[in-house]
Formats: sequence, C-alpha cells, structure tokens
Amino acid sequence: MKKKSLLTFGSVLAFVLFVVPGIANTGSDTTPEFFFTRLIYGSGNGPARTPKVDIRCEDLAAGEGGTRYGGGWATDFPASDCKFMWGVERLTGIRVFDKAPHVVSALDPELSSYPYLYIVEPSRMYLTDEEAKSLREYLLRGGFVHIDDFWGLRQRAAVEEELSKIFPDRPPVKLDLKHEVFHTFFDVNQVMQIPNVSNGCNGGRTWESADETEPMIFGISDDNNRLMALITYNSDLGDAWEWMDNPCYPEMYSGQAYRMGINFIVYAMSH
Amino acid sequence: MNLFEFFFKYRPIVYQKGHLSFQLLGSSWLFIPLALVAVAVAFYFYQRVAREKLSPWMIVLRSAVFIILLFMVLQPVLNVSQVLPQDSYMAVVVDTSESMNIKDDGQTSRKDLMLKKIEETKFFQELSKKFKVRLFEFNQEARRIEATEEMRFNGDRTRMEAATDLLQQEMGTLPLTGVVLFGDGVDNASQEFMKSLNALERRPVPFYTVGVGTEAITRDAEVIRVAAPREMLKDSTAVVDVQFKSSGLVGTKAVIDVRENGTFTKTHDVTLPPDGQVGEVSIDVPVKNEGNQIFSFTIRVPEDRIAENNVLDSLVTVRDDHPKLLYVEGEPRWEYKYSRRAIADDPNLVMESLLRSSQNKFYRQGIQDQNTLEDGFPKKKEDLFAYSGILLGSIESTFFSPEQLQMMVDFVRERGGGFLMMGGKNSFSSGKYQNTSIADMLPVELLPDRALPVIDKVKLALTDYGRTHNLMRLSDNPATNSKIWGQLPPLEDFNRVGDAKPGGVVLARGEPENSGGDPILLAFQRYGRGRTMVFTTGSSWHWQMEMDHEDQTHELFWKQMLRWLVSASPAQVSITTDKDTYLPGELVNITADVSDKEFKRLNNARVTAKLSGPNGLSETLPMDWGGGQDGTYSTQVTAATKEGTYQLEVEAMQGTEKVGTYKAAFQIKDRPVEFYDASLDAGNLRSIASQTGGRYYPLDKIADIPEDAVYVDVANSFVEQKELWDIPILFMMLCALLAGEWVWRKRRGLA
Repeated sequence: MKKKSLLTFGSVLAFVLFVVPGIANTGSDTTPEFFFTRLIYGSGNGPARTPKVDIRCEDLAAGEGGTRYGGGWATDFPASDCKFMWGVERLTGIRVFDKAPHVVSALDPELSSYPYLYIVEPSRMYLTDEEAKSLREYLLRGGFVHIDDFWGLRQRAAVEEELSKIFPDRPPVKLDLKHEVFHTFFDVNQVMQIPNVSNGCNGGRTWESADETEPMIFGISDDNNRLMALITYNSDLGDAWEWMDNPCYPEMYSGQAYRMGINFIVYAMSH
Repeated sequence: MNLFEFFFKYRPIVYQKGHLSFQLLGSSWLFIPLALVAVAVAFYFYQRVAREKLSPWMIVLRSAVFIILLFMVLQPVLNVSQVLPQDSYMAVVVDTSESMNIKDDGQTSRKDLMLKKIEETKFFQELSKKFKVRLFEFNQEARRIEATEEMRFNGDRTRMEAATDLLQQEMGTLPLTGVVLFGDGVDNASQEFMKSLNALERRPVPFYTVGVGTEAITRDAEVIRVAAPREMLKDSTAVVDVQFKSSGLVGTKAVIDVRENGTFTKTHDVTLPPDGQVGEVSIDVPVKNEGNQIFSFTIRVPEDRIAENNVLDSLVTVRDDHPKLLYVEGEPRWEYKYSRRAIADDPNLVMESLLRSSQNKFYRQGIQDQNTLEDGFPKKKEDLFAYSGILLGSIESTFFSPEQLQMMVDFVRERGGGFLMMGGKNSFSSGKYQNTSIADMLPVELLPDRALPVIDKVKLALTDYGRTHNLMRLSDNPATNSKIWGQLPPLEDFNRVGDAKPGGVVLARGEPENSGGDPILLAFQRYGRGRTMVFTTGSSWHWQMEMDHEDQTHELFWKQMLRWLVSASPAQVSITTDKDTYLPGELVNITADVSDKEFKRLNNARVTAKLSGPNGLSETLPMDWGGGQDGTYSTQVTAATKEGTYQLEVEAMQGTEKVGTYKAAFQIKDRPVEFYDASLDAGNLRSIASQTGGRYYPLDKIADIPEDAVYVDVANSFVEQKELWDIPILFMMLCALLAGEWVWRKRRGLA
C-alpha cells in the first residue's frame, strides 16, 4: 500500500514537473514570497562575491541537468534549483520565485532579505571569519540553512570545522524522526539515503564513502530549540531534485527528496 | 466710615437690600412723569435765548438740576428690613479641619490668621451687640462650642453637611437670622450637602461666608490623580498616567518616585507647570509579580510647603492568565513565522495557529490538544469564543462561510474579543473583504475594488496619537521612542485601504519611497465590547531580519500589540469596583458581568460576591440584576475603617451549573485628604452665599459682617425708612451741575 502511494505520488510529481512546467508559476501578480537561495562560497581564496547569474528557468532544456558553473557552490546548478521550485510551487501554497535560480553570498547586504539558504557540497566551502560572523548573525536573527551533499568522515570533519566557525558552541545534533521538521507538510517516517544520479541510476550502493555510509540528518538549534541549520549528511537531495526527470533515477529517491525539501521549507517558514 | 458711606450716607448693603419710595408720592413710578415735566420746564426757560447762543447741553444740565431738586423735594426714602438688636440668633460655624493648620505663606497658619482677625476686630463682641450668637465648629462632625478656645483644628475631613445638619437640628425652631461660615471652602466628605442646605433654607437663612487662606498656596506640589490599568497580564508594562499641579513652582524640576508595595522601583523627572495648570506624565511601570500590587507615586520638590499631598496610590491586579489567540494564515509566509516567533517567549500569550500550507492542507501550531482546530476554523460560537483574539493573515474572505464571518463579528461585538487583520495578498480588499460583515467592524474603509498589495519600500511614521499611545511605546522616553521608530528598516509592502472611520484611531502611516501618499499602516477602533485593528503590511519581519539579533524591537512591538488587543477581552464572569482605592467609610460600588459560553448576557443567574479582607474579614454579598444593562449585577458596601487590600470573588450559578468565577480587589487606605486640593475654594463659598442670599467676605473684611447682617428680611424683621434727600452725593451733584451750566452760559455770553 505504501509503495503504491509512493508510486502514485511520484507519477503525479513527474507529470507536474515535466509535462506542465510551462504553466508552473507563482499564480500571483505580487512579488514572490519565497526565494530558494543558494549560498555562494569560496574555497580559500577570500570571501565570495555574489556573481551575476543571467539564467531563466524556462530556458532549461528538457531533461537538462549538469553543472553549467562547475562544482562547489554551483553543483547541480541551476537545474536542481529550478526543478525543485517548480515542485514546491505546484505542491504547496507557497508563492515561490521560480523564474530563475537565486544566489547570494554571505557578505551580500541583501542576505537578510532571504531567510532560507541552501548550501551544497559544503566540504569544499571555506568561510572567512567575516563570512562566518555574517552567517551566525543571519541565523540568530531567524534565518535558516539547509546543508546538503557531503559524504564520509573526511568530508564530515571538514564541514564540522566550517560550521564551528559559525557556531563554536553549537555542534550539530543528530535529529530523530519525531522532530517537527519531518512532519510540517508530509510525514517523513524514514531517513532514506538519497544517492547521487550515478549511484541512483546504477542501482547499486547508494553511499559514496565507505568509512561511514549511514545517512544522517543533523540540526543546529537556537536557544528556543528552533532549527537554524539542517544538515543532510550522506545524502544528495540536490541530485534527486535535479534528476527527477531522468528515467533511470528511481522515483522513491526523488519523491523522498521532494518531500524532505518541502518539509524543510515549510518548517523554515513557520518556526 | 468708608468712601461709599461718605458719599451715600449708608452702607452698600442698605442700598442692596432696600427698596426706594417717596413719602410725597403714592408710587415711585409717578416720579417719571414729574421728571419729564422738569425737563419741559428747563426747556421753557431757554426758549427765549437766541438760537445761535443756545446749546443743548445747557438744557441737559438744567434738566438734571431740576430732576435732582425734584427728587429731594419729594422726600425719597429706602425701605430696608432689619432685625432688632438681640432679638434673633446668629450662628457662627468654623471649619476646624486639619487644613486650617496650613501655612499658605509659609509663616502663619490659616487658623492663626483667622483667630487673630477675630480678635482684632472684636468680631464676637460686635456681633453680640446685634444678635444672640451661637458658636459651632465642624470638620467630619459638627458640635456646639462656647468659645474659640475649644476649637482643636484636628479634623481629618471637612463635611459641611455636618454643620448644616446640626444647625437644622439645634436652631430649626429658633429665629435664626443668618450663619457666618469661616473656612477654606473645601468640602471633601459631604455626600448630600445641597440636600442638607436646602432643608435649612426652608426659611431664608443667609450665609455670610468668610474665606480663610489663599487661592494659591506658594511652593506646593501635589499629585492629584493616578490612572493605572485595573488589571494587567504578568510581565507587562503598565503605562500609568500621573497628574500633578503646583503653586509658585512653575518651571521647577521635580521627581516622581515610583514604589511597588513600598519598595522603590524607579524615578521619573518632570517639570512643574504654571499655577492653575495640570501637568501630566505617563510612566512605564513593569509589572512582574502576580497578585494585587500597590504602586505609589510620590512627587518630590525642594522646599515643598505641604508634604502630605505628595503621594497617591493605585492598586493593579496582575494576572498570570494566558489569553488565547487564534491566528489563521492562508499561505506559508515570513510574516507568519516571525510574528509567531516574536511572541514565542511571552508566557502569558498563547497563540494557536492554522496555516493553510496548500489548497486543502493545514498545519496547526501551538495547539493545546490534538483535537484543537482539527476541522479547521471553528464552526461553533462556543469554540471560537474560547479565544480572546483573532488574527487574520493573508487569507481570502471566501475561505470562511458567511456564518463564520458573522461569528467573527459577534466575537468582537458580543464576546469583546480583539480582532487583527494583517496585510497580505489575500487581505483587505485584495482578499475581497469589502463586501463582507468583517468590513463593517474594521477601523478603516476598504477600497471598493480588489487592490493587490503595493510593493514598495515604506517607512513607518507614527501619527501624533501614535506617539503617545501605549501600544507604540518602545521606550518610556518620548525622544528615544521616536528615535527607535525612525531607525526601523523600511517595510516592503502594504495594502491600500480607505480613510479611517469616525471611531478609528490611526497610530501609524507609511511614507512610501515611490508609490506616494501616506497610507494607513496601523489603526484600531472599539467595536461593540471588543477592539478591531488593522496592520496593513505583511513585511514587519524585515524589522527582525535586518536588525541585530539582540535587538528586541520587533518582539516588543508584536507582544505589546497582541497583549493590548486582548487586554480588554472580558471573561465570562467578571467583577469590578468603581475605584481601586477607597477612603474608610466611602461607598464601594461593585458590579459583575455574567455571560454564558456564547457570551449572551445572563439576567437570571444567581450571583454572589465574597468579600474578604484584613483581620479575617469574610462577608458574602448577594448581587442583583437591577433590570438595567443585561447581564450586569451590582451591590454596594461601605468601605471598612480597617486599611488594607480587600479581595472580591464572584461566583455566578445558573440553576445547579456554575457559570464562572472571577477575582478582583480594591484597597482601603486613609490619607490626609485635608491636604489635597487644599487651596482656598472661594468659588464654593461665594456660591453658598449667593444661593442663600448672603455675601462672601475675605477674612480682612469680617468687621463688616455685624453691621451688614442686621439687614435681613426674616420673620422678626421690621422695616426702617432711611431718608435719602440729604445724602451728600446729591448736593455735590447739584453744585457741579449748576457750576457747569454757568460756565457754559458764560462762554456763550449769557452770564
């Protein structure tokens, strides 16, 4: 029964995302409320600057994925962002900006206007003290960040080191499935490992690093126990959003990735 | 002899009380035709004078001479009633309350001035030549005394009706010619003075009132009123209005000390106003402790003459209640998140919210149990009326059934709840509320056509009213408050609405960067028993995200707004008294309001109030619905002499079912009322004199009273005729008129 529901959900989602992407819009003539904002970060060459991104989601080729801007912060960019936003817009009542991918750097004065951030492949991120301070202030004011797509102990250590620059006194804490973030829109009842597109299509192992293979979700909370940062370790939700329309990528992963992503957004907009 | 008597022969009161007549005329009116004849004769004498030498003034002057001569010849008299010496009584009543010890000039007390003047003028001796004198003193009570030495001047109240009651009692059957009343005119304890006075005045008894003291005491500051909320939620800030006045201290810096249950908490600097004006200051007083708290406000100024009138109390009942708010939001949005977060750490506000996360999916937050809001927005009044406030976010009117819309109107009007509509894509006319019953209760008009929110940077600007309203107070220093509001980041959007309604109060308007106008951002009004409010933006969350995380402005604004919104929301059963502090012996008016779960007022409940106080006092007071306002029950009790805090607990029953209970409190505290508003109230004394046909005298004119008081028209009076033909002023006028005519004639060559 459960499998059947998931299949139905996946089919509907696939239809929505790929058959009718042209009619997916905010449905409103007012400014969008929600921007899925990707954090631009540097890799040790000083603070990152917000680049000019001249991409329109509607210009994506059918089934396009890949990386127009390379790795690091731009992994899966922009297809992952656009496709995920189309899904969010279609499935929720959130007025989403889905016309173009949206990016910002930690020192951008506009940062505080976008209370939701997405960081991909954080093991390549190197924050300057200034950037870490800016992100700390952003999160304490009520901002929210989803950190995704890093694998194994080495990358985990690197990410924890960067996060300790933001919050030296708040180490990430593993979340269990009772946490409200798993029940804000969908009831997510398992921590599923979301593989990258290669592993997903190959149908073999879903992990990327043998030294630690279990998927885990961590959180960093404020003094009132509200999540500020949500960390999907040993999973790649970005790839699942990006390759949803790839016939070889199993629906159970992409469906779960959409469910989790939407839950994170609704949580961020309500807590 | 004064100047008046020099010219007119008699005292002014003779002319005031007397009636003119002529001994050689049957009626005084006949003097008029005779005077006309005198004018005609004057004209006749000048008829033969050549026209070029004649002046009308010569005729006028001669006419005047003839008229005066005619007046004198006809033997004019003043008929004036007066009493025979020693034939009637004169009562002298003296205010011997504590206020007579006040030294208005800082040197000599009122009583000393009065006694000295009485002695200097030999007042009683002179009065005794004309009347049989009876001496009384009065303060809280009145009594007959034999001599001024018996006066104690220690009464803690002034009750004039005590004197008039005693006069009626002791002298009601005696020929009382008048009453001489010495005092400062202040009456702070009479319940029905006019009734008592009228009883005495069934026969005319003129009051000769003597003002003792000055109308402006030099160098005195006084707290005259303290207005604080009767009830507050715990951990709130009570904004207390303190009124004060002063004499001879204009522009002086003073300090108001605030104490909670006797413990000093803060001070507030004030500048004293000009004499005769009232100064007012609003003081923020944090209320942290649950229960009945007594806040004292004491004004301090150097060299204050009367220290006894410097302090007033207020009793505030601090409740650890948890009024519930229902927030209905039509879409996930940042304003929803941040407004919820803003009040999250407020232990006294409970917010239950219903968020429509997709077309038919709802996310409930803050719910008290799993069944709450399970079926969406309440469908029964009973469920909705369990809340104290409703917030509507960006949710269109068609989300609600017509019955639910009407229920929200009833929620405010009948239940007395608070209602807030927030800005958003589906709010106001953008949410098509303009043709619903909700539009009727909002404090602003809605635009007739759908108007989506304006997306523009807009600075919030307080209106004049907003600058002084508690709700907009982010600091108790007005300058700091304005600065904080001025420094807030701009908002990003607003819903345009029409004008404020006649009862609507606009607290803040917007200053848009590009779209022009001064749109209403924040307004409220009373509606029925409750309050409605509009906050026309959906982007106050920028105040949180664009200011330092330790800045509490955003949180404070939302907490204050929502606490204020529900602060007037009554319970099903409530009880209150007409004041928070009473003097011993004062009448305490107690009223209770009783409603059922749908807040329909109940007139058939059985309502009792239990009064408990110091020394184990416990009394049960039945309360009656008097047939007046629906659901309102009342009773009265006299404040006990024992000072302290008295607790009232009301219980309402309908049949065997308990409707509800509620607690309130009041304080009984004595204070030296004689020193409050203690300046000479000459107006009151003049009024008493005028009403009774007497006169008001300053203290230095009391020597006139024995002479004046004999001219009175009472049962044992006789009428004396005072001749007027020989009053000096007539002869002086004759001389002046004749001399004037001669000079005129000389100039014209006729003399």
